[in-house]
Parts: sequence; C-alpha cells; structure tokens
Amino acid sequence: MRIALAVIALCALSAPPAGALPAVHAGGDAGLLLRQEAGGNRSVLPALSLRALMPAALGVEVGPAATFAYASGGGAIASATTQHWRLALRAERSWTIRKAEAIAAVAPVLVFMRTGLLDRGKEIRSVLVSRPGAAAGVALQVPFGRFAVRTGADLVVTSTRLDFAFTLGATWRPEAAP
Amino acid sequence: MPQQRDARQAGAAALLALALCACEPPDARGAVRAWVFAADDAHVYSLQVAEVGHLESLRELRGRDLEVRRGTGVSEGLADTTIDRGDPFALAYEFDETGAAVPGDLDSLQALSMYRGLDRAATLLRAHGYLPADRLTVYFMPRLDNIVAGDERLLLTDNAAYFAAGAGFLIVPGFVLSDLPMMLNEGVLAHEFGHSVVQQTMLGGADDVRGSGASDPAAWRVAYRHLLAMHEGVADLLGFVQTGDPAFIAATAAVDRDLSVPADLTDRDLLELDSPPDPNDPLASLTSTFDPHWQGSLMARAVYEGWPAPTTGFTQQERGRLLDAVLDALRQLHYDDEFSLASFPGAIVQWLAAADRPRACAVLHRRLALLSERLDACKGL
Repeated sequence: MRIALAVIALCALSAPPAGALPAVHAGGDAGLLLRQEAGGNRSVLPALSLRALMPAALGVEVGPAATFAYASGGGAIASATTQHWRLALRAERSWTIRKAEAIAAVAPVLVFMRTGLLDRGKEIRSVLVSRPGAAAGVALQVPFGRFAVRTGADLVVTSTRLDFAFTLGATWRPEAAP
Repeated sequence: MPQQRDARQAGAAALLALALCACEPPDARGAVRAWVFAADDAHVYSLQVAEVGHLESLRELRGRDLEVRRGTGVSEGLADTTIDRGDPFALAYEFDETGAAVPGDLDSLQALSMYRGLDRAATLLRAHGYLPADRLTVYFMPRLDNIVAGDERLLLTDNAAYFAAGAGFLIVPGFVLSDLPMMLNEGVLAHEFGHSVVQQTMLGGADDVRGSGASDPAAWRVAYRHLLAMHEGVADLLGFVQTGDPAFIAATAAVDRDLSVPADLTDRDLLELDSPPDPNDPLASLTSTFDPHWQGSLMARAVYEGWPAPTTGFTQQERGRLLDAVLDALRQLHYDDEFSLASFPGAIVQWLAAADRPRACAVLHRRLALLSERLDACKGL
C-alpha cells in the first residue's frame, strides 16, 4: 500500500501547475462486492461507488473514489448489519484500443466497516472497524459522446482480507465532443 | 493553479494520515472481556459482555484447548479424506471504551461466542480431571467436497459437529434454523466437546473405530451402532452438565431431546441398533433412517431420571458429581463386539453409592427394559 501511496503522491505533486482548468472525469458504478468474511468465505453484497479523476502526470488520472456496500445477516436472535465503506485515492492510466479504452488502476484504500450487533432485531452495540489496504483494478470503457460506459473489476487487499468487486457504470467527460 | 495543487497536496496528506490512523487494534491474550452471545442463569441467550478465557491470540482465536481456522476444507475421496487446515482465523474487532472487545462483523461475533462456549466446556472438564490430549481444531465454515457427490456445503448446514478425522469440530453456516444458531448454543457446544471426550477417554483418540479389530464383522457393526448412540447420549449429558438445562437444544431447534422427559426404548429403537445394513449393500445404507441421537437421548434420559439428585434438584455441585461419574464410566468402558448401549449406564450404576443403586437400576430396567439382560451392574438389584 505504501508503494501505491507513493506512486499516487508523485503523480499528484507533479501535475501541471498552470493552464486551463483540468477536466474532471466523474463517474458512478453499481456492482457486486465479494467481501471476504472473518471465516474466510466471501459474501456477495450490492455496492455503489463514485469517483472523480483529474489529469496528473505521465498520462495518469488521479482522484478520490468511494464505495458503499451493505450487509445484513444472521437469524431472529443473533444478527448483524454492516455498512461497508471504502475510500480510495485512485490512479488510472488508459490506453485506446479502437473505439474503446482499456484502463488499469491502483489505489491505496481505507476500509471502514460500521457494524451493528443485534439481539432479537434490536441493535445493542455498534463498532467501527477500519483497515488500510491497497487496490488494483482493470476496466473497459466505451465512449458515447460526453459519456462513456464502463465495466471493471477490482481487487482489494487489506491485512487479513482479499475482496473482489465487479462493476458496471458510466463516466462523464466534459471535454469530449457531444 | 496553485490552489488546486495545494488542495491535491492536502488531500494526499489527509489520506496518508488516515492510513496511519487506521491501524488494527492490538492482539490480546489471556482472559478478555468481549461482547458475545451467552446464556444467563435462566438459559436465555442475549448479547452481553462476558469473559473469553485462555486465549493465546484473540485475533487468531487460538487458545489453550482450541484453535479456530478459516478457509478450511474437507475433501472426501474414494479411499481417504483430505483435510485443508486453511489459515489462522482473522477476527475483526475493536475495543470499546470499557476495554471490552466488540466483534466487527457477523462471522467474528459468532466465532468469538462459539470459542467461548467450547472453552468453557474444556475448562469445566479440566476442573474435573479431564485433560484434552491435544489442542482441538475448529474448522469454521469449511469447504466440503465429495468425489462422488461434489460440493456438499448445502447438504450440511445449520450444525456443529465433532470431526474425529480432523481432531476437532466442523462449524457450518445456518440457513434453515432461524432461532439461536447451533454454534451459539452453549449446550450444543458442550455436547460436541463431549464427543471428543468419549473419543479420547474410551477410544484412545482414534479418528475412526469402524471395523477396526473386528473378529466378527456383523457383531462389530451392531456394537458400532450402539457405540454411536452412546456417543450421542454421553454428549447430551455433558451438554446438560455444562448448562444446567436438560432441554438445552430447545433454544435452537424443536426436537425431542429433553432429558427431563422420560421415554422408553422401544422394539423399533432396538431393532435399528441391532440391524445395521450390510456394507456391501449400498442401497440399504442409503435408505437407513437410523439416527443415533434418538437412542442416545433415551439412554441419557434414563441416566438423568435414575440419578440420585437431591430434592433441591440438579445444583451445579450435583451436576459436577454427574460429570465425575460420566468421566469415570468412560474410563471403565471397553469397546468390543459385546459393547451395547446398556454398557454406559451400567458403569454409571457402579459409580453410585450402594444405597443409590436400587433406584437407579429400577429406572434403567423400566426405560431400557429391552436391554435389561445386558445391564450387568443391575443384576440382583
């Protein structure tokens, strides 16, 4: 994760200092998060994410990304709900392949899980667990005017977990021809 | 755009600071106060702070007598079983303002509560002279694979089971039972731990005893069914000793296993024990409905009913006496092709004071009448 942080910090700090307002490529995705649980198995959670990337150096775009997923499990007596947040400083590099763009991404991430522990349906205790980690991903993006349709897959590593995410979304690119 | 550059630098610095702050809590060992599901004196389960003891690592859920593993697998081949022990558990938790550990997800809540239940059973047994030979492994939600049937995870759910071949326990997810999961039921956990006690004390910790040393294979198969039933009955008694609740399983499942409700061994029950299918007839094995829990429960109920409990009932001290008797009976028993479901209660009778034996034998003769001839300890009483 430190290497990913260093790469992104380098790109961020070496961005062009002056010139026209850089275009922000904002986008959103819906998908599935395959979250590894403490017992080693993975549960499938619906997930939503937002991202905003700005050009930096070396053809790399850098910007924040946030993902939210929700889990609820257990029975009538013992159960738990989890709000799963992932914050990332994402660096992406894209390559044009015919009319599409192939994208590779890395990011240092912070995972926050707010878990509510329920007794017979009533929340008795909650806890916020946080973990640093790193993510890597690939995506394929097809432009349609100022928008692009995008599908991707991410892998997120924290100290004791290995999560996967599969997404489908769109990116808004204001500089593109309508 | 110096302002944008400043903002970018500030963002990167903030992220770095957050990354450094987002450290995992320190590991802990020894006794830890934690939020778990536990039963109170009235046998009602609730989320509460309780002590989780004898830990070597809270993060890995490893302690004096138990080690919880994740990412495990059991693969049954044609000739043998392959066991993947996976990795150490990875408990998600934080400490609250009182210093109690709060599980960070459902798996962690369930696993920590389960560890506590099993550890309490081990602690009680140790207090009565039983020492586990080895640390037992808990295979938490393992992959289950069979070379013929394929993925068997959907065939074994809502359960906790002793796993002799892996020297430990299989803890599988719950999908059907909506009340207290098996893995949170302290009586069920003591029951499963009880299987390891039977296996170690009576069978030398063998990973299987099916057919070993058989001089008469047919008689051995009958004895094996009696052994399976006794296994379950002794485990039920240990579940009761641990919880003080003769109907400890009721919190999880509505099954007829209440030790305080007497029941008789019927002709059909005995027929099932004495008529194991021929192993060369796979169809007969597949269609067998034999469930050793039932006959075992009948034996345990007879022991419960015949136990000379004081008028105040089964106090904690009295349950301790019952545990002493159970452990001593297991040490006395030998498994051979003469073994029967009556062997264990017979050994219990021998443990009792002479004045208490007639009443106990009267109960055994009534409830296990069809096995009376094999109750050697009750002859003449």
